[in-house]
Amino acid sequence: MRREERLEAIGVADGDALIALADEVLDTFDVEVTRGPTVGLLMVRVEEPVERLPFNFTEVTVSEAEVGAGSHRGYAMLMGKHPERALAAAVLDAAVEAEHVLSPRIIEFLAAARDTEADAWAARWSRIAPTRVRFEDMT
Amino acid sequence: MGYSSVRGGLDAIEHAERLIDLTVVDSPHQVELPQVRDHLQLLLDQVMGEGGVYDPDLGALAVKQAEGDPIEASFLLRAYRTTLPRLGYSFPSTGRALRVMRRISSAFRDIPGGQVLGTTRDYTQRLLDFSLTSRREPSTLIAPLVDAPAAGEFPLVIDGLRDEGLAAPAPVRQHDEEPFDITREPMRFPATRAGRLQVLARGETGAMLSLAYAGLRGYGGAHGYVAELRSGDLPVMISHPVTGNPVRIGWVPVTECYQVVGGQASLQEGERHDYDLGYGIVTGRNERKAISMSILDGSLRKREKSTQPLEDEEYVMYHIDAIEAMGFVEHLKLPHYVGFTASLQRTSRVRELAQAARSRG
Repeated sequence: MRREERLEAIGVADGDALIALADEVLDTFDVEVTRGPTVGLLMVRVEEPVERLPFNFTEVTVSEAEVGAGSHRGYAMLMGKHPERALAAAVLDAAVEAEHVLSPRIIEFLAAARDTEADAWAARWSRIAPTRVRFEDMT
Repeated sequence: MGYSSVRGGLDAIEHAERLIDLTVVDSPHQVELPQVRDHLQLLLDQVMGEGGVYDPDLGALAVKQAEGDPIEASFLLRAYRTTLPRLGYSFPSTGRALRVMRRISSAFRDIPGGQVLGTTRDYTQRLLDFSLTSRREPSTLIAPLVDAPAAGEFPLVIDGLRDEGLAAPAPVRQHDEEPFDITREPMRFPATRAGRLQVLARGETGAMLSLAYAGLRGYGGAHGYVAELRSGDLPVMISHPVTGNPVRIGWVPVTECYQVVGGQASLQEGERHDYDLGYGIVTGRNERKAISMSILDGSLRKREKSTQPLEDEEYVMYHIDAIEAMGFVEHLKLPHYVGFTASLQRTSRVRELAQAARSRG
């Protein structure tokens, strides 16, 4: 699982389970918090379609954290006001980078979170799909 | 009767504040935040859009605290956002990346990928449903599992117009100028298009609807056709600070409107096309505002402007912001004792002078 895929999966993982897994990792893994955890705003930009001009559309709240473990860095940014979750996610990211003994479980956990999200989207779409329509002229 | 400035009243003011607090919480049926998120979604979307902050948890809290007043709730969100640091900027997302959940065209019957009605009240009758007066089970929905749409399954309808040469093609490359940010700088005129779009995206739904309606009725608006109205989830992409690669950290639900405006020239130099475009994008499901935004954008993009109000960007941009408008109108209820006393004194003096003049004959 690529690093970017990990961060994407962290954003959809169950928060309590993520924190519990990070706590377990921290029993045998020393980290130094190098950034945050901070709650702040991310400005979401949109490219409008006429002139392909980016503009500032809306802000979203985000939580961000970064940790160091030896020469390895762990980073996380999540949408919403979840600083504890962001810190836990950064710990898991660093643990995978450092090939901690629990790395396979972390990756398995994140892969399951990603699959659950994909299933949820498919289920949402399945509810919508019957409204797909081709109109016919009445003339 | 005398008018003068006053002091005091602190006890009464504090009591009034406690009354507001009781209004929110003094009930055996207190509103829970998940109820707002799950059942007042459209109000929540409006509040987050006009507050300029997408966060359903904070939005729900604001709605509860404001007793459902959308302007007050968006004011709370805007006030709260000033306490938070700006941590960064996303890569610009486009409607092409939207995870589509509704997509219709009133200009074309057949569109590539087909129309998707999605969740809509467009075909319902406006009759009160008394079965909702008490708790009831949801109706059965027969929806077999199907695969989610593939990327690119719903291309933009305006691409067809562009392919036909009826609308100006999109520039090959994205503009690279830093967009204006209304949260950091005061409005200036003439405004940049980026600044205009940001102000429109944060505008108040009712005000924008009213202006767009006035425009359609002949006060300078762009009466076009909805080439496409789509809603879904927009990816929020950032640069991973370690690898530098784009990464999606989540989604923001949005509604987009692509308005085709007839008879206007596009901005492409040296070319004129039969149709121009107006664009609207808003947070959440708020089609009324998205369509209104596309009408106002189309009006403000006109190259040859009339003196109609909707083609005046100062008029439009200054009057669609709910917080500004609310603040200015509602400040009139705050004490103006000194000012009005002065007005009364002037009036009284003028009356005396007029009386004296009449007496002199």
